[in-house]
Amino acid sequence: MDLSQRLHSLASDVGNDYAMSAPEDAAALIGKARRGRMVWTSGVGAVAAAGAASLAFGGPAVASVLSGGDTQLAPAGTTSESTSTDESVTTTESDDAFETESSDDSTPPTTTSASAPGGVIDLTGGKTGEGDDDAYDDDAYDDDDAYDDDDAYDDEVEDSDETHSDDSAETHSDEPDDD
Amino acid sequence: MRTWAKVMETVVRERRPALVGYAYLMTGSRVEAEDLVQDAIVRTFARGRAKNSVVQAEAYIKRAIANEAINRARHRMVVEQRKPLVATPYSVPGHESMVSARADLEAALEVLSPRERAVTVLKYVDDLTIASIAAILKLSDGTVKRYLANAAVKLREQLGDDAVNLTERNTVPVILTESRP
Repeated sequence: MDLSQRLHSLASDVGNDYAMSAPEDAAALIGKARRGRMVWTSGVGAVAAAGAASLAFGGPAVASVLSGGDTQLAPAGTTSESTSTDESVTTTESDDAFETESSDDSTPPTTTSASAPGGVIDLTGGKTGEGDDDAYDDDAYDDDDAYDDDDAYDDEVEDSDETHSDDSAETHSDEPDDD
Repeated sequence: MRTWAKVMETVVRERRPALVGYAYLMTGSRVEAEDLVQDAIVRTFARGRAKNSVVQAEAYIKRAIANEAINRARHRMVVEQRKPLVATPYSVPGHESMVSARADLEAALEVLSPRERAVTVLKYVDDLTIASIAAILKLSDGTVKRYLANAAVKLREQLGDDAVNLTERNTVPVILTESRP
């Protein structure tokens, strides 16, 4: 018996021993992981909200002050006074979450940028984590399973329409074929 | 129920014993192996990783176990260094463990350093390549080879020369048959 087999055998023995005397704490462990995920996504959501809010309002406002123009809070993407700020805003707008919501390629980019302020302002709705796929489908978005998120959404899409992939990017890439 | 939640439940309810066995190879302690697996599962799923399939999740958890086992062992070594040198061992192996069939292997694994142990498990249990092991442990290929070689020497000392053959996976058994008359 070589070393590989001996190690496998040892691991198997220990695993079997554990299975025979394993504590009934599976539910507790699952709950712990769920709570951890909720806390983690809350943190990610808060960071994303702060970043998006600063990009949407702070960036153009600061840029406007620096350039000597009027200080007005404009929605992200609609002002083009500051090139550097607009670039960062454009990067934020190209997130998958927005593409998922507006899957039509004929929609001009400005339409998606118009939805950015709504996503930023609605802090309680959980849309602040749009840029992060994990943050978007997390427990922070729903306190219980009654409000399913994108995983469930993916499953539904997959079940209802075979031609649509569960990946939003693939769905997006399928659209031009209709043209 | 979301996909990641289904995967998590499957891993916790069905794959946990196997993961404990795997972690035991890394740690040599059943209690620490259980704790390591629990910690790895929570970390993996709490951070939204490896949620698409059980296989993917298990692979990710194994990587987490390997890295965390090394970290804990190194931390333990630092703590041990600061203890009085006259400290007595916290456990004495019982008679039953000495006569069990796996005692010699467990004793041999105890001789290895944490990284030597990890690369040995990744090599001989997970059957990973040198490059894969290096990527998981964030080491260079040469370092992994050195750890493997050192581990092989130590294991041979403990288990005998035939126990470890580094080239056993690269060789093809040749069966000599009678030549034609």
